[in-house]
Amino acid sequence: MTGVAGVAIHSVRMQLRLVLRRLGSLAPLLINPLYVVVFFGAVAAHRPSAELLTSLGLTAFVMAAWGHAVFTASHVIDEERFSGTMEVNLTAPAGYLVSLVVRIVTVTVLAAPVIAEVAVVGLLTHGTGLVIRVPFQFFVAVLTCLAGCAAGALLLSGLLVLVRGARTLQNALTYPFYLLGGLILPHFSLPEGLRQLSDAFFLTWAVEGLRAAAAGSPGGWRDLGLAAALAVASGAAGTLMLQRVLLRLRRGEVRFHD
Amino acid sequence: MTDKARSLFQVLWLGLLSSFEDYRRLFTWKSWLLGWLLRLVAQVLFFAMLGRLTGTVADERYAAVGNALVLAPLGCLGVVASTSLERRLGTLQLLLLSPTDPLVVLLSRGLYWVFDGLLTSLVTLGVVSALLGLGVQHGALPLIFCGQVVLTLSTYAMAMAVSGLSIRWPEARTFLTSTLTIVLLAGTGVNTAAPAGNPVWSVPLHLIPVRNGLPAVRAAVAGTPSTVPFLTHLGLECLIGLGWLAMAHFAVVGSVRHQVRTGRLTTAT
Repeated sequence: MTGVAGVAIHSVRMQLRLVLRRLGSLAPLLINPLYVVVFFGAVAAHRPSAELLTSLGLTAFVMAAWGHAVFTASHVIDEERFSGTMEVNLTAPAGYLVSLVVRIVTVTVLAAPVIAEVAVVGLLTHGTGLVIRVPFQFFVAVLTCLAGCAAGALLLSGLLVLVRGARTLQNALTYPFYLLGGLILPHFSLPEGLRQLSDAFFLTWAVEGLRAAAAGSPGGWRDLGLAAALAVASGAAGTLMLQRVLLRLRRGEVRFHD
Repeated sequence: MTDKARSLFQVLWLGLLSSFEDYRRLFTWKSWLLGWLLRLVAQVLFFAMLGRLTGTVADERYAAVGNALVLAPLGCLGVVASTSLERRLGTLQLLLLSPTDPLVVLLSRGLYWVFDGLLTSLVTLGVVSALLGLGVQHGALPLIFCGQVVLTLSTYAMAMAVSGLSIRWPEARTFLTSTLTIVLLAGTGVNTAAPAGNPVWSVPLHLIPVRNGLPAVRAAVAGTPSTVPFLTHLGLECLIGLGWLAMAHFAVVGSVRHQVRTGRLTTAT
């Protein structure tokens, strides 16, 4: 198979092989759903409703998916630099950009089973899994959330090459963003200024969409539409940035190694 | 001071100096403030909001204080990854040329995690206290500091024991630190009172650092520490820490010897 589709298929296969060789990179996906134990335990004494527990379970899922995108998927290009394969791949006549984008998306999507892990852990430890009222809408919400996470990983992967020391700033992309995205308290309860910032963040609407689909409450599709639009915009910006980064690497304007 | 004790302190001091060189290269003051500290303050606020979700101020305060205090012990877990990184970077072989006990050498190399943990937990406690109105008094700081030193060193001993595993199985380092993070957050009384009902869970949790000492530091934060309970809690915490230190010696020395004997010290991924 040739062309873009061929590059994409080979890239998915190669990335899956790499992941299987380094199972340690999947550790956060296996362990982070256990945050459900922390969350459920924190509210257990107050006889929480199934809706509240589901909402907290979804928080654990989003934390795992976003954390995986920020710390693992965005490192695909960095790993290429570290292993010394990037110099060789840059000499390929075409397809490297497609390959990197597909590989980053592939790694991000591996977070999908976390939703089942969260449900099982909740069920085993507290006797409550996730209560989903509108399964199809929920399925779309999970996909939208993962698409947004992949877009974030694309943006970050370019920045990691361009900005020295960006790795140390990655820490700020976790809990500050969880607060901004309304993962515990709804985003509209944030102070003025932060709320406007939160409105421009896909995760805010993805979380609202996930919760609405789980609870069967109205407005879920609008939230998912907003989340999808922001994810597409971020993905396009991330791909353009990656294209620019590869061009600068080929010209020797960016150092391969720190 | 005997020659042996003097040389031990010298190794610890040199290890500390070299670990600070690593630390200085890990962060600039901007990335420390905007990356690291901002994340930690947000982490404490995140769990405090979880307390607020149930609608009681007491829960919010309990979670905020617990999560600020546990930052130092959690920070120590970084040594699990940094020790296995020594192997990946090829510096472990050089460190093992030292005639000193491998545990002392590796323990001193990671001491910056202890100092960073203490610093960030106390600064975060101050920031969160101001943001949420926790009312932590300046006068309580010396006792809080003493308690935090005990909690942190005891967790550091456990982290060194786990480092023994990460030297032997470097790929497991993230599994190990992630799991310990969850255990500390869920089982030691950080967000709510520690599990006490089922002895199958509650008794083994007393062997985990933080579980025994945290109530003492909480009392210091509230400004109401009674001498006997304060010393009892921290004394138990010290004992648990010493137990883990013995375990760390067994794990690190055993692991290093195994890697050398099988010729696999340089084949880490």
